[in-house]
Amino acid sequence: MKRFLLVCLLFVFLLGGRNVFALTAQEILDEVEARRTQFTTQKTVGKIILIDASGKEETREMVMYLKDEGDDKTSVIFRFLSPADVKGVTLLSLRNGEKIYLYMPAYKKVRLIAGSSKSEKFMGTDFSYDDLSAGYGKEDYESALQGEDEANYYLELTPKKSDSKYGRLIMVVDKEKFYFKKIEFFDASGNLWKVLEVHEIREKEDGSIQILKLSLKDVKENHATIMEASSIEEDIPLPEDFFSVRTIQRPTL
Amino acid sequence: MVKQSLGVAIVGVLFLFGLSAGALEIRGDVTARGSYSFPEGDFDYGIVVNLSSTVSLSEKYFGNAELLLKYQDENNIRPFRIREISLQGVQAPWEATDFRVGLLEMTWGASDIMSPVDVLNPRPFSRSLSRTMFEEKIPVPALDFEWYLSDTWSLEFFYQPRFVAHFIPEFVEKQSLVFSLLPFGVVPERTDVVITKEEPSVGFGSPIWALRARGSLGSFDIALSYIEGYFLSAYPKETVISVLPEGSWNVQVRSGYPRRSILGLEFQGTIAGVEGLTLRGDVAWVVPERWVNMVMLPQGETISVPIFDVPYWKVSLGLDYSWNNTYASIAYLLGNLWEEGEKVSPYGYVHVDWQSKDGKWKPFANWVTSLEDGSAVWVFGTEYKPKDNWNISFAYTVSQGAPESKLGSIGEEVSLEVKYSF
Repeated sequence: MKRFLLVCLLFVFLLGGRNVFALTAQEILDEVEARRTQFTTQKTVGKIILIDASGKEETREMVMYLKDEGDDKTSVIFRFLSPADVKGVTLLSLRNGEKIYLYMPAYKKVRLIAGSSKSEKFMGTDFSYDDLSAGYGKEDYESALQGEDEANYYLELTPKKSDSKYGRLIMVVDKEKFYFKKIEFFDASGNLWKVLEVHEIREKEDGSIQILKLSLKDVKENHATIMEASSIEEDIPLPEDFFSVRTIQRPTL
Repeated sequence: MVKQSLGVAIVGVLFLFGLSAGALEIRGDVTARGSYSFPEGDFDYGIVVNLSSTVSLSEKYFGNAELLLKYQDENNIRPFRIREISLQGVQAPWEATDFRVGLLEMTWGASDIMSPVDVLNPRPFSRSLSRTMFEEKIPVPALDFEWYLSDTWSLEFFYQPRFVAHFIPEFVEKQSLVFSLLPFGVVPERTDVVITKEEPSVGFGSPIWALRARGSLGSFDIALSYIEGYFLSAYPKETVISVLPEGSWNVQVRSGYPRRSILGLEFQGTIAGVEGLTLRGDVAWVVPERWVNMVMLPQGETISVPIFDVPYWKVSLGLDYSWNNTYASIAYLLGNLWEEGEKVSPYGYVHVDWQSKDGKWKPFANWVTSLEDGSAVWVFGTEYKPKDNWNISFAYTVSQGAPESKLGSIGEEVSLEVKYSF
């Protein structure tokens, strides 16, 4: 009898084990955030490939500096290194776009960009300024676990802000390494708008994940952007006033 | 000539340095443009080559050179121009300072069009009303030194030990002078004009100088500036009109460059609760030296014509808004680039452009109107970017108003510009 009970318990455990230890959507997102590589400063050198509807590609080389300002705020300096007609064009975004400046070397002038530009496309790419600075935390999204298979979790994220340009997001999270492999962005009418896919990652010794290559396709416009990092340096020493209007006017960064 | 030879020598040094360092990187653009004026039935064309290079001399010091080569079918004056040759220090010579010294092109002002505080550089002559024309400047020998008091506030000092004036071809200057003398009875086609210009005595001990403090206040970036210098156009101070025995007219003009002080305010910022709206503007309070043109008539009578008497305002105030790949800007201007003193008059300016989803097309419309006489200029056109490094721009310009009005004489024109960057 005792042995029968044990077998029953084991059977119940095996059947229900998945439910007993299943993660909630928020726990999955928290784990994704925890596995995201942590840094105070980061320098990325790489390229952006723009692909139009006919499949024609244009490549732009870039260098980007990031600084974690705390409170989920990031400051960014982004400079194009090529091609010639945009070389040296530099963007400074302070604390998730509280202020955005653009420096155009041809005009020798720093221009403050209006706030609405945050939802506009960034320098011909499929990313908006918001896309570049956004996280997918509980402050901004309601999350629900839609399903899972052997490899992935499938989450549905619904923006909390009523003025969000997206109606909902479907996020595919890798079960083993806890990074998002794919995000589908739907508009307010429920139509698929953009698809973001991660193509290459690097797993660091501490288990954190660095994304090396990703693509964002605008399904409506049949236009895609690939971002590929050739080098990433983290926690590099930068002067306290590096993320400033002064810096973006320099000949070299 | 001496200045150009010096410039070529400096470029040569930079070039040789770059070759020896294996680091010279020249970039630039070639722009071919053509325009057809309907009233005159005249086709104009030209080509401009811009070349620039920055040589890294060390981690903190850089050599900059920018040159312009130009050919146009008419008035091909100054086909070779230096836009900048300078030594630049970044966090040099001290951590909190940056500087540039050499032949400099300065850009001050926050407004997008005709800033009244962007007056440190003289400008070359052009009959065109294109954006390129508004951006063209003549470099000045100067030191520009900026001291960063914090990451948002700085104090800038500009020092120019040699005077450089706007470049206006002599025939244009004579033409406008003769027209200004029409009330005295001169007949333009039978008038010979001789202009003698006296440049101000600017030197190392008596320079043109300026100070600017700039920084952030809330959502606004502001700058306060003070410029002590001279007008860059010559104004007559003594005009002798005589009638020669054969019935023609002779006008002897002695002109100079009046002193001026300019107190300026620049600002750009957003307004809380109105997302997408940016307010930009420049305001200048100009205090000119009192300047009178003494006109001696053939009858021996002398008339004094006041040119500068009292201080005056020049303003460029604008609002811009962007949404759904569309950008709109509206501005109020008090005075254009060339209007000074009592000639300063108000203008309204509207610009709208829209960028196609693939980023290749950018149709635009501009409207400028004189709020004094109602004359106006419309510009409709589009920019097209077939591929990276190529830009094509087409525009149709038409003006309305009497020929003698502020903007009515501009006429009707189509223009095409093709630019390749390398």
